[in-house]
Amino acid sequence: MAKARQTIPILILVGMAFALPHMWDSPYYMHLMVLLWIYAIFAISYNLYLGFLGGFSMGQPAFFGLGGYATGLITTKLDWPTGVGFLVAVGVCSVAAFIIGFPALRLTGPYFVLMTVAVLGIVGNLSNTLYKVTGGSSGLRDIPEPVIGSWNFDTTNYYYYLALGFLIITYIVVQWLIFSRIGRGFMAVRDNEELANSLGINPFRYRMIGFVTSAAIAGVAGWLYAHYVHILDPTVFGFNYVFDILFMVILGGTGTLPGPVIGAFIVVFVPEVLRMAAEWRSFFFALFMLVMIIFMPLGLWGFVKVQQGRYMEWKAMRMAQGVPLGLPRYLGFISKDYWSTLSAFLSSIKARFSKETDQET
Amino acid sequence: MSQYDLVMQQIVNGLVLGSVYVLIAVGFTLCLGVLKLINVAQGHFYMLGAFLTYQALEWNTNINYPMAIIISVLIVSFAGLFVHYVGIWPVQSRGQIAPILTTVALAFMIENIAIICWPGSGRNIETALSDNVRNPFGQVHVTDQRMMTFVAAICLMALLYLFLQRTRVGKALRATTQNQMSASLMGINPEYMRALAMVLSAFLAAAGGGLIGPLFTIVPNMGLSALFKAMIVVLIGGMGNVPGALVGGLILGLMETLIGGLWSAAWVNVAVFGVIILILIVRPKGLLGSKGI
Repeated sequence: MAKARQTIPILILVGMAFALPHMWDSPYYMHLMVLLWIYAIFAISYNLYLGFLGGFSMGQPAFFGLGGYATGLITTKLDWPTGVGFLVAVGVCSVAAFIIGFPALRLTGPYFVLMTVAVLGIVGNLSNTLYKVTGGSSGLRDIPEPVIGSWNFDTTNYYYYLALGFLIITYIVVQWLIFSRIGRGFMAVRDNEELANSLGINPFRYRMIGFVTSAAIAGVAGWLYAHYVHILDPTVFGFNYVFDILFMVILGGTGTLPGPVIGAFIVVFVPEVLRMAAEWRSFFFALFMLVMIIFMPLGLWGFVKVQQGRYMEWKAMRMAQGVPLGLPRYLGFISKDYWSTLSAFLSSIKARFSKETDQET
Repeated sequence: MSQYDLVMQQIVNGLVLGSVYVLIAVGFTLCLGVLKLINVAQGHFYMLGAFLTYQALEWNTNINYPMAIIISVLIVSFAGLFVHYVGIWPVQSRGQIAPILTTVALAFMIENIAIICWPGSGRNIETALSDNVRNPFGQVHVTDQRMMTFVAAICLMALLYLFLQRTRVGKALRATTQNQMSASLMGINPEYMRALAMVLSAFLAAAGGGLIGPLFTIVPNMGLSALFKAMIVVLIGGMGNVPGALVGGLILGLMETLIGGLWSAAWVNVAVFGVIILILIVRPKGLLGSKGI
C-alpha cells in the first residue's frame, strides 16, 4: 500500500512527460522542454557532488562543454557514428575529472572553488584559442543528429523522447548510487570527514568516485546538448551556466533526488513568465532568486518535505486527541504558525535596531 | 621601438593595471577575512564605480574628475551596505553557499540596472589628463592619467594599511578576522565589523573602477571578469592577506601585459589560469601564505 502510494504519482508524472508532445502542439515550448531535460541531467550531475559530497565546484560546465566538444569533433572531423561519440564524451569527461581530481580534491574551502574556476577558465579559453581545431568563437558547426539503428532523432519531438529517456536512466542510476553503499559513504564524508575516515571510508577515494561520476553525467548532458543544437561555441563554458545550474540545485533542493529536476523547471520557465518585463527580465529573475534563497533555505523540495513532516505530526496529534481530521483545519493551524514565525522575525529586527540605538546613546 | 623599450612599456602598463587589480582584490580579501564568504558582487561594485564616475562627469561640467570619483565611491559604498543588509545578513548563519548565491542574484540585478541605464557598446571617460604624454625612460609612453591611476591606487593602499594598523577600528577589524568569538568578548560588535568590511570593499572596488575608467572602454558586463582577477590576486597573495594582495595584484598585472605584449594576446588567460593551477598544486595555501590582515 505504502509502496503503491509512492510509485503511482511517479508513474503518473512520467506518463504525463511522455504524453506531453502529443498534448502540447507548440514547437517553441517543446524546444524549451528538450533543453529542460538536458539541463535537468546537468543539474543532477552537479547535485551529485554538491549535495551528496558537499563540495562547491564552479567548474561543472567544463565537463559539459568537454563532452560536447569531444563528440562534436569525433562526429564532424572524423565522421564517426554518434554512439561512438557518446562513449568518447563520457570517457573524456571521466578521464579529465580523474586527472583534475588528484590535485583538486585535496583542497578545501575557497581553494577548491578557485581550482575549479581555474579549470573552467583554462578549458573555456583553450576552446577559443585553439580555433584551428574547435572553430574558435565562430563555433563548431554541423554536428549531426544521433542515429540509433533506423531511428533518426532529427525532429524536436523525437529528441524530446531521447532526452527524457536519458533523464530517467540518469535519475535511476543516481538513485541506485545514492542508496548503495557508495552513496552512504558519500553522505558520511559530507557530514563528518574525520568520523568517516575513522570508520574505514577513505574520503579522498569517495570524493574521487563522486567527482568522476558527476563529470561523466555532465558529459552525457553535453553530448545531448551538442547533438541537439548542432553547433558549439566557447559560450558553453560560460560562467552563466555555473550560476544557472547552481540555482537549479539550490532552488529545487540540495542533496535531494527530485530537487535538480524541479529546479530546472523553475530556472527554465520563470524567465518565460517574466518575458513581459522586457528588459527588466533578468532583474526580476534575480530578485525572485534572492527571495527564494532567503525564504526557502532547503529549496522547493525540501520545503515540501518539511511541510509533509509537519502535517504527519499534526495528524498524529489530532488522532491522539480523538479530534476529526481536516485539511482546512490544518491550513488554519499552519497559517497561524507562519504568522507567529513572521511576527517573531519582525520583532527580532525591531529588538535589533532598538538595541543598536541604545548602544549609540 | 627596441625590444628593451617594448618590455619597459609592458612593465609600466602592467604596474598600472596591477594597481587597480590590487584595489579590487583587497576588498575581496577583506570580505573573505571578516565575513568568511566569497562576495560575487565585488566585480560589479568596480563596474558601478566606473559608470557612476562617467555619469557624474556627464551630469555637470563643473564636476571635475577627482570629485566625480568621490561621488561615485560614496554612492557605491551605500550600495555595499545595501548588498550586506539585503543579501548577506539574512543568510549569514547558513554556511558558505547561500551568501554566494544571494550575492550572485544581487550582482545580476546591478548588472541589469547598469545595462538599462547605459545601453549601447560601452562608454569612455574623457579627462584632461589623458592627453599629456611623458617619456620618462627612453621611448616609453606614459600618460599623466596612467601615472595618476598608479599613484592614487598606491596611496589608497597605504591609507588602508595605516587604517588597519594604527586606528582602533582597524584593530577591531583585524581582531574580528582572527577570531570572531574572542573579538566579541572584547567588546567588538562583529555585526558592525561585517558591515564595515563590506562598505570598505565596495569603496575600494569603486575607487578602482573610477581610476581605470579613463584607460579602457567601460561596459556593463565587465564585473564578472574583474571578480576572477580579484580571485587570482587573492590566490597569489594568500587569503585575507592585505600586503600579499598588493604583491599579487602587481604580479598579475605584469604577467598579463608581458604575456600579451611579448607572446600572444590570445594566450593570456590560458597562461594565467595555468599558473593558478600550478600554484594550487605546488603551494595550496597561496604563494605568500595567509597570515591575516
